[in-house]
Amino acid sequence: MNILLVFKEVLFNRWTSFLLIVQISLVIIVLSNVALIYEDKAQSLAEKSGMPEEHILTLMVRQSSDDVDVEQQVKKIQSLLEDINGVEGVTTINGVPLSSGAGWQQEFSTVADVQADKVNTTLYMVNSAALSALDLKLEKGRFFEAHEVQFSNASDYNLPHLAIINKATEKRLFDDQSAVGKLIYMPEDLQNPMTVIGVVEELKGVWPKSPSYDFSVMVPRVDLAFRTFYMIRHERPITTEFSEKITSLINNEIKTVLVERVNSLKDVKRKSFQDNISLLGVLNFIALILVLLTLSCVFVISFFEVKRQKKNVAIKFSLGYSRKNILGYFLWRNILVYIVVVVISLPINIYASNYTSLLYGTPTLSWLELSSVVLLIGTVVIMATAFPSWLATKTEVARLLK
Amino acid sequence: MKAETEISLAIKSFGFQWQKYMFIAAVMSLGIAVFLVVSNLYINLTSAFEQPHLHQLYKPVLNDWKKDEAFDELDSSKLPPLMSYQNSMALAQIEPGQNASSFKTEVIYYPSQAQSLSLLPLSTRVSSISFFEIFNLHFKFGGKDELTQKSGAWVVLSNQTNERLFAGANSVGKKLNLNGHYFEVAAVLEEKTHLFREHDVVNGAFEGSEDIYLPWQAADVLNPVIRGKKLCKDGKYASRYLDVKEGSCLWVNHWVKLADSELHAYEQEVSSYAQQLSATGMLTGETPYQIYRAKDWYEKSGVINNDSKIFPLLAIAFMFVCAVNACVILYAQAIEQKPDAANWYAFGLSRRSILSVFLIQSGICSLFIVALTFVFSLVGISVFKGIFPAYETSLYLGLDSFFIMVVISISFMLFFSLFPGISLSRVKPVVYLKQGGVA
Repeated sequence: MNILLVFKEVLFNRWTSFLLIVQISLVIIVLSNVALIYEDKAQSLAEKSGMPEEHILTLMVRQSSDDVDVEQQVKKIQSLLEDINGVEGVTTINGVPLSSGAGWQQEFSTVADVQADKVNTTLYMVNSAALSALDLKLEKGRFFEAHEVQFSNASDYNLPHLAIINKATEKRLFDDQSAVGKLIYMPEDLQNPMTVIGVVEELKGVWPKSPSYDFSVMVPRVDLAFRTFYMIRHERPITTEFSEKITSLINNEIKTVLVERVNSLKDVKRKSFQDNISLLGVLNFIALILVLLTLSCVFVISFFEVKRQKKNVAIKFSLGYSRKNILGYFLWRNILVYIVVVVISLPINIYASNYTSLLYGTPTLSWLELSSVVLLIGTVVIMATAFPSWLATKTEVARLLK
Repeated sequence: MKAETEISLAIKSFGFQWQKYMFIAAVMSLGIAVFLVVSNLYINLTSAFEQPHLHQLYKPVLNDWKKDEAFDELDSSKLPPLMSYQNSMALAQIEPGQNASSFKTEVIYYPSQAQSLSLLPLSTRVSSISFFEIFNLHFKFGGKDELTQKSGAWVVLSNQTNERLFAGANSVGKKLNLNGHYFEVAAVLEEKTHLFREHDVVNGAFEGSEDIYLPWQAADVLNPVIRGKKLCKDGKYASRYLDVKEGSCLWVNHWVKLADSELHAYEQEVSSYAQQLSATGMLTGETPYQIYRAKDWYEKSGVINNDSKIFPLLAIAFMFVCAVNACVILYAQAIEQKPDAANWYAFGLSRRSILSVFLIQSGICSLFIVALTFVFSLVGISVFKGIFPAYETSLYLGLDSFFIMVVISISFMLFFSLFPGISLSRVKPVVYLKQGGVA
């Protein structure tokens, strides 16, 4: 195949080539940036929370009256929930992981100095059953004992002096050393450090968009507040019937509380990430339409080019060109155009992706993403050219040259 | 006569090729509809910042957060959006200006025996009376006079709460049991008309507005819950109104309405107050205070998020992809039409007239594009609202959108028809007539 001849043809049909270049360049630029945003959104969705989300029910109850012994009430609800058949663990907690709702962010450092390097974490107040209730994997040390759990008024800021941290926090604060037995300090209360007694593999924070999302610290405390969260793990995935059963059980047995919310952790996460999930759907739709538009554009141009050049093709056949040569001629024509597209769109793409990454705080366009998009659109271009090119090989030479 | 011939030829030709034109219309209208829906959201939000009642609204903020620590790790220039009760009351004393101090809490509604409702937690804002005027909240039943006459035991219901508790009837004068205390309904607000929660944009500007509004005097009686540990710079865990009222916790949302001529005097007063506080170490940082225009505050608080910023750009690119696609099909269409054009030329039609015929065909097509864009936009808006409920009130098609739709449809179609049209008008009749009409 004489590539130079094909290139001359590209230049000769400059308008159709120009339209193809504009169309495909735009598609590649849009798709590359869509891929960048997609990656940002999908990454946060794919992250493991460290808990079996389908098996955990989150429950929020609040006092309907101020004249209640909250501690007794919490213990009663805990015991009611633990007695349910199939329940494998129940813990109180001050904020539901992954929920984007209420919670506590707390900074910690490894030295008693307010200027020291700190890590912003999600502070969870849990009871001694949290390990089984959240099905956490204890990697080092031990979990809290029942007698270590403090029942404290919500306005009492004195936190327990024991802590269990997740692996990410351990790595951030102690690098490769084990955190067990070491002290961690809150800048507001340097006189009362906490001793790390255990490390769990993974436990995500409350707010997916916050820097504290990857870092968590648990303390043995039950917050006696106007509102209490419970997390209940069941041996089977959470169903609506189970949620309703829990609500009616508490409503019937405890008259001083109001069940405000009952959801599986999976639903809580879905709600919290709903915008991202919806956006991924929209991005998928945009990508699909763009691919279809490219397919249609390349097909239409190729089809009409073949139609327009029927006489030329007939002449080429009479000059000894084989069907393979003719097929190659039309395919190579669009491949050449595509190479020009890739070269032209690259600098614009880098500029556009810089803007996108500036907005989203994501890394700029990676070569992997760009080459995936280039490969995808390249395949679409070849697919869309194949049928018209095949039609060209079926040209009736005798009739056209008559 | 010439114009009539051109129009008649264009209509006939359009009739023969209508499937292709419908495909072009579908592709173009899809692109324009996506652009309209996405840009509409962005335009509606930014234009919401320019509403007349926000022009004179300012948000004073004080840097009374911890020393050596940014209030917001991601943006160190951000000052706390809330302030302590003492500071809010001190700023309220400054002349000139009309102040609105408020805070968010929650109370429980105890239904009467006649109502078949269970206990109902109500999202509540405790505010001053001026709050309603400053944020341009209109009353459906009752009004400001009723509020001033009722001493402290009044409550204002949102329209939605009034629907829920009183089936939408005029409930002014009725009593509500909130946390065991009775409050008289003084007014009911009109249906929510604001695009976002203008008075509190920090924790989700598009979250629902409050169910009820109570006066400050009610807070002394109810001692409602103040939530959020981040509120207290000394690390205290905020709990109840009376616990934090006199402390250094930041929980009061303060706004002020100022005429342009009053701004300078107000700034001087706030500056002098901030200097006093800085001297005692109460304020920290290089910028101890800031006074933001409402619009600037909304921008700083990210009311328009990154997705809303980048999607109009993606939508423009998408629209151009569709337009180029339509141009490609039009070009193919022009190639197909060349034998006809050769005949027209042979029968005496000028090249200019051939171009006119093609442009008229495109003009007819653009009318279909307008109609299809309208349908696609309506479908797109309802789908978008279904997917992103937060934008329920921010997305609508106004007359201006319709006008833009018509202008874009016609101008895009004519512009992208020019090149294929010119190509058609340059037809060489000898080539096509010799072939007996075969391209």
